[in-house]
Amino acid sequence: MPLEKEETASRLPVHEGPPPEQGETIFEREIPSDAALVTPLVVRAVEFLQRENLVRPNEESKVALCLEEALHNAVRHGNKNDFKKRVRLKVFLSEREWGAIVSDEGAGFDPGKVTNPLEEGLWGESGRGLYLIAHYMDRAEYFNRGNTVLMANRL
Amino acid sequence: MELTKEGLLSSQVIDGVVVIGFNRGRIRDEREILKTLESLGRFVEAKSGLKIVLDLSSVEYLSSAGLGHLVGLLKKARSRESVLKLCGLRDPIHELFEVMRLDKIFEIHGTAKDATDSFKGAARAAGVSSAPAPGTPKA
Repeated sequence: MPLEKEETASRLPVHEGPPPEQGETIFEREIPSDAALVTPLVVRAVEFLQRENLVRPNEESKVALCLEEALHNAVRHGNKNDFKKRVRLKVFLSEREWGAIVSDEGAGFDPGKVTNPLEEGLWGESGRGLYLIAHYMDRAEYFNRGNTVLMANRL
Repeated sequence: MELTKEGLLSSQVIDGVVVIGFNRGRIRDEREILKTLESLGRFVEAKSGLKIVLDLSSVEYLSSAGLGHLVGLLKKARSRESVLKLCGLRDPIHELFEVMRLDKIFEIHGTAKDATDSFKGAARAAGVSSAPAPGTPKA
């Protein structure tokens, strides 16, 4: 079910299995779990999305932020910076939306247990990434016990 | 501890306010920003009673981790009885602060001058409020 803007990251839907087929894969990359490789991948992915006219100029930084949050979560929290474990980014295009699927090889997590930064106080120093993805993208869902995040925007 | 020896940061003192900026024109890499904010954290922890303005105009991108580091910096400043203000936020970063409601805990100004001037205003206000009200008997 798509996430409504008023909903919080703590209510993000998590599905047991992998995400269903979302459309045509138009960009796909895989990196080892090294935080140094995240920003270059985000830059390449956003440049690709711009070339495909999928991202409007004023949305570029928001899309970059969501990709970076998801990829860093996968590297740091999912794969625990284990260089041998891979992080995959797949960008898809369907008739109604474009989106990105980021997956890692970690133990997964329950987004429901991540505290909401707006409800739990403003002085926290972590826990804002999921909220930002949910806020800036039209749809955000988790699959594979939290190992995979799918984020999408309507065309 | 000299701040300018800590990599990307530059600093100058204007009217008793330490104005800290980034040496480079555009900063996009998250790890670079986090590392720089960690350096700044060490600087803030090492001193007390500072008036600090952090100019973020060179920062093109800030992630949730960067926001967390800034919140940590503000907490460190308060614990050392220093005052930290921000200025020069680009529109997307300003929006990010609003989305996360961090504009409620940070004092944010448009320019470094606005931010440094605001300390003068605060000092004046403090002076007025600490003065006894007219007619108050002298102790």
